[in-house]
Amino acid sequence: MIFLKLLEGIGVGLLSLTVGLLFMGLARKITARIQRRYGPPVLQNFIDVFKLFSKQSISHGFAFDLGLVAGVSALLAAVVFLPMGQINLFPHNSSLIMIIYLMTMAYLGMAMGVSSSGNPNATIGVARALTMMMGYELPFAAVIFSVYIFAKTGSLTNIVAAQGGGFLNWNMVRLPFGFLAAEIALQGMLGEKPFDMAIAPAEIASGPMVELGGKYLGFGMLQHAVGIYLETGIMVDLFLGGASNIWIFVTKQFELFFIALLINAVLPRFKIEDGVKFMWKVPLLLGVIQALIVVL
Amino acid sequence: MLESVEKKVEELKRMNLEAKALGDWQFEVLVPRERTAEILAYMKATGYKTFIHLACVDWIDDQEFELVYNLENYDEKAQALVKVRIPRNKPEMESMMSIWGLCQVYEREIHEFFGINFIGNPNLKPFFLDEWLDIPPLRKDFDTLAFSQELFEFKEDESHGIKAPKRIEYK
Amino acid sequence: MSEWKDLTNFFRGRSFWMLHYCTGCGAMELPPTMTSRWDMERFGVIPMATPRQADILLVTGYLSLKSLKRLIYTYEQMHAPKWVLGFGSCTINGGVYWDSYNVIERLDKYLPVDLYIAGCMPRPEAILDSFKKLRELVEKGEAKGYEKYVKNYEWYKANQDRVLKRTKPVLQKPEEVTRSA
Repeated sequence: MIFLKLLEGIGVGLLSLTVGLLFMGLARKITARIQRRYGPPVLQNFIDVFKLFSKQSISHGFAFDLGLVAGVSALLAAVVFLPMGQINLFPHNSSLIMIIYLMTMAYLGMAMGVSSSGNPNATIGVARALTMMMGYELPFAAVIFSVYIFAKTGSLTNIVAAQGGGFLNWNMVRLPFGFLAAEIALQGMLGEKPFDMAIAPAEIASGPMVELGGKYLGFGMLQHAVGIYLETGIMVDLFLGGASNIWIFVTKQFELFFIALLINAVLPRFKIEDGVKFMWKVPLLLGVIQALIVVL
Repeated sequence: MLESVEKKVEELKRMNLEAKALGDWQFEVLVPRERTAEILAYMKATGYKTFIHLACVDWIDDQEFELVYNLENYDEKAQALVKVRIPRNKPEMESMMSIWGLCQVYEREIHEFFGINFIGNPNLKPFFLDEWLDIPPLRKDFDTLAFSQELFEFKEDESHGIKAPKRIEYK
Repeated sequence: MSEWKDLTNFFRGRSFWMLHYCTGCGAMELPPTMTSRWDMERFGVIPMATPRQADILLVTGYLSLKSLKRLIYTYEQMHAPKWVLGFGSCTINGGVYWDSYNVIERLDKYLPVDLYIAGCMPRPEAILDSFKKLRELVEKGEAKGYEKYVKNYEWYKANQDRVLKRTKPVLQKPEEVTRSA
């Protein structure tokens, strides 16, 4: 029984990696089309990951290895608890707080790994990423607060179940301000423009990734792929009423990702302090209004 | 020609200097070495406030270096070239840092590329060239072609059609 | 094992991440190559920010002795397998700087160049063509510059030291120099 669960967990991990990489490839293709280019093949990111894992790589010490492995594995662990359509490995145990905790673990692991490389650009990038995290976690926490009070439960499975029975029951319609706030926070979580100061290639040489090469960069890419899957997945469960099967789930995820992508394609980058200020003004205000409406 | 340029040229001629207009908005004046600081200070006081560039020309036939102080008057939109000739066998010049602090960088560069010693400039360390041990490279008696072929190991190879490059003589 | 090698070479040839070392005028040809008109991303080539992430090193134009030193640092920071593309006639024989005292004449004396692109400057079409050619070479397993560099390191190092760590004047004896300066 446990063995079966383990196999299922591995399956879910592979699914999230595949979907995440596919999303990244589609993102490159769509961005190219917006810029009137032909764009790379949709499977380009699979080629890139394979190539990266076939390259020679240099380690910068034990903490470097550990941090990167922790970055990917914590996210993969979080994905296992996510209800996605009929795939729900732990229906009685899908607490949102735990998933968020594991996500934070992953980013802290990554931060520990890349700062131990000793490159100042990596440290600047990590500092920016953590500052930005402080920015978007606050509105997101406000939104989660209102969703909790609204659904009177902390389990994602129950939140999804409460939204059953048609479009009008979705939290997106019932909690519109909260949905807007969460959308903006999602933009920050995905690291898309205008909130991509952490990986500004022209200023700080791609920030946290500056010392990653070969297999380590491969791990970084996988982490990004799982991150996309997990973050859009949480949004689908919270606001888009979950899904009855995995195909609808992935389609809904892609819709959210597509919106983020379009915003990414047309906007420039915030300065770090402006980004945090924006996060603490607009989405936080929306989140607080939503929480007040729900409480009263 | 600008009226102010004409006036300035007349003024400089009255100070016993060779001056002539080069165009509508530009003139040159040849100054002896010992009067350079005085003339430059005078130019600065009379409108030519901006020091643009310090250039050097190696007149190898006259055995002289020519330093050109390039000044600009933004109010009148006029330019002045203050030229100083110094002998080639004793390349020395007073630093003009007391008039324009900016001169420091230009003098350092010219020291590196022409080997002119600027008295009073505190920092004449090499600027652009790494580990330069030959004579300064922009002097006319420095053979860049021979240097390049010697350092980068040029080899004539008839079988691959590689011939020695020839310098074109300009009349 | 050879199938596995073929497979890795197939993927490597389709995903070139490049680091463009922009010293010369060739850097000007890269923006049109990257953007809408020529779009090199369709061949899987994208610009990268650091040497650690890159697979190919584009040397875009002339190299002065000072930048050669930095180029060698950059090349040695890259992870194998890595390839060097020499760009324009300056890297082939010095180009218009054929008699310059401070610009190197042949790049492949100092670094293993896998492919040269002729022209002054090569047009974006030529650059795209070079990526396709390099892909062919990689798929056939012929682009082995990085292995050559390791194998013949003494020769490359001696050449690099000859121009970068000079201890005596190239043309004149030291006493003549002190006299003229």
